[in-house]
Amino acid sequence: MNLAEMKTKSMVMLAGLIVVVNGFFPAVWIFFTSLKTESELLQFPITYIPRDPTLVNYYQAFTEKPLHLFILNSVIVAGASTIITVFVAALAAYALTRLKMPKRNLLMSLLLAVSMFPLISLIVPLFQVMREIGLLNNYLSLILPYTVLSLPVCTLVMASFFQDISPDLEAAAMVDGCTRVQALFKIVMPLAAPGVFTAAILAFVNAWDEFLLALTFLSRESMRTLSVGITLYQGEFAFPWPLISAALIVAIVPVCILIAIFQERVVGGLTAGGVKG
Amino acid sequence: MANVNLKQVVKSFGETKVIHGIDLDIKSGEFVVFVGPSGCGKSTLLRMIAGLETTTSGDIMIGTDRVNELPPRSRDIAMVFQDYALYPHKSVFENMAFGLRLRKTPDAEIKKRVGDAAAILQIEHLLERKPRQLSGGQRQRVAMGRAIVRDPKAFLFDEPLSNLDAQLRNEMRTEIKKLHARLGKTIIYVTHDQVEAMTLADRIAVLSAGHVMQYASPDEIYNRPAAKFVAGFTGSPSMNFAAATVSADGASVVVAGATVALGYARKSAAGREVTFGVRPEDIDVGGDIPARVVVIEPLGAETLVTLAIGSQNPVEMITRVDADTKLASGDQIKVSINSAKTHLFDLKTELAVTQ
Ligand SMILES: Nc1ncnc2c1ncn2[C@@H]1O[C@H](COP(=O)(O)OP(=O)(O)OP(=O)(O)O)[C@@H](O)[C@H]1O
Ligand SMILES: [Mg+2]
Repeated sequence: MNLAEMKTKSMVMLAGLIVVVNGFFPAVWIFFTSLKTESELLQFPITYIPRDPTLVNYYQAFTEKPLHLFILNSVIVAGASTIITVFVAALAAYALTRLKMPKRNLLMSLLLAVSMFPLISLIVPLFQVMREIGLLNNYLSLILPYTVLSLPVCTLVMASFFQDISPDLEAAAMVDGCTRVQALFKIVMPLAAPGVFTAAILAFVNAWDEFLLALTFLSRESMRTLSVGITLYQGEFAFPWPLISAALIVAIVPVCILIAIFQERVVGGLTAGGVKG
Repeated sequence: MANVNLKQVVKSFGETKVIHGIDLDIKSGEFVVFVGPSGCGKSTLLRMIAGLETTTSGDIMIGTDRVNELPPRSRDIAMVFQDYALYPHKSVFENMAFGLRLRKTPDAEIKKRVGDAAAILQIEHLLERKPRQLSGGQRQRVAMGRAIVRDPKAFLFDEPLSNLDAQLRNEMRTEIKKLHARLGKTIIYVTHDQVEAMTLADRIAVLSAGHVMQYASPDEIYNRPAAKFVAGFTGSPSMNFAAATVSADGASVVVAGATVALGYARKSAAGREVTFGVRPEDIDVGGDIPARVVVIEPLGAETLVTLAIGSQNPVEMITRVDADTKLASGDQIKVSINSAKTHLFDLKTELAVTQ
């Protein structure tokens, strides 16, 4: 390795390190905070690693507010909208990549344009609609908009993966006895697994993180999702850092686990490769 | 097993017509090859028979049924694709079993049929592998295996050998011929390789720009080509062509100043300008037509010799001679042309002149 190569390599490593530290530092900091007592937190000089780690904040997080309900609500809303999104986006992406369609490129760009709509512009009309059809404080009031909001991006992601799969594979499947839809689900989707999982993660995280709609449409406390529920811990005058940190960690962990599992499939799917028969 | 009939079949992609009213009858158990240059519509026609492309107009019959409106799965045909199209995520066994599973065939039956097909194709030791762990030739066998387990009415092959190297191609060609003899099924086979067409087919359909130029046995295609295009497409090297004038009685032609007798008189072309054609093997050294040796290309068993034939404005023609014929470029020799094997083609229509 010569000097120039070493230089490039160390630059790349440095950039990578910055990204990792930047991404992980807040999470790690929150984790440490969640293990501290309120008094340790206020101590000076500050401690980085908790001196006397405790789980009491986690206990309080669950007892002070119905955190388990928040989790359940989030799982239901994010899970349902992810499943619907992936299913509909798969069909749409298939249509866009495989069927003869006039103005396909225009449609694709429209999708992209729609996905850039600012949420805030939708919230008032959506609220009206939800109230009119009586969906306020109903999971559907979030599942439906989340699905619609994630659809464009998920469709585009899957379309780009479908594009790389030889149409002859579907032709073979259809000659073998599949309907077009069966060919999509039995052959194309498994081969596009990395794309499907990428889309699923996008949809899930979008729904899991969303705050504005969740705050507006599910106002009953037992219907709160995690992103909104966590804000309920702060009192009028107090801001219980360790408690909120514990709740945050509880909110982050399921997503991390989910991504870790999917990551395996995504990487596995990629290395399975050899799509070209 | 079933016959396949095409009646006035037309295909247009938008404004562009690529198949121009094709009529073909393919008998039950027959091996028919569609051959033609790239872009002539062979694959399109095959995919229309499979149901993978819609038919713009005309009828496609498999057995006694008109199948135009049926999806591929209901046509009871099997197809082997150029890039094999094996399902990458399924094992060889599951690739072959897929069609049977979709038809809810019992497990024991699936096992037996996949086993039998694997035995015929000698791929029993590969059943657990994934397609990417196979060589090109092995993938080819699996693709054929997947077709034969289903026991369909007809097999469709789209250039199945074009991704293999020359030696493997010859091997698999023999294999396919054996398979046809063994199964006795209707096979429609697409290729642009005239050698494959000649060796495999019971009948060949020569296609050009969406038209069938000739539909006949390999022997007929080779010895009695119906058009200049067909004559030029078959044989390697292909037929020699030269401008010629037919004599007043239609019994001979004048090519580059030399008179060549015809096998039989073409009264209809008497006195006209035509294209004269003769295959390389029908020009022999020794005779009364003057020729000059231009290029010599030894192939081992035989030698290709490019000659400038005739006395005025000599025309170049290729002939095959024995490997031990002693010739050198620049030699002035005399040749003869086998009159029984001469062909005339109309200048305008390019169709064979036979009367
Ligand atoms: N989906 C399509 N849209 C428009 N034109 C098409 C389409 N598919 C094929 N064609 C045209 O139809 C003609 C016939 O194509 P086809 O694939 O049948 O040729 P082929 O004889 O199989 O050639 P090759 O030997 O290269 O495979 C070509 O001119 C091609 O450009
Ligand atoms: Mg083709």
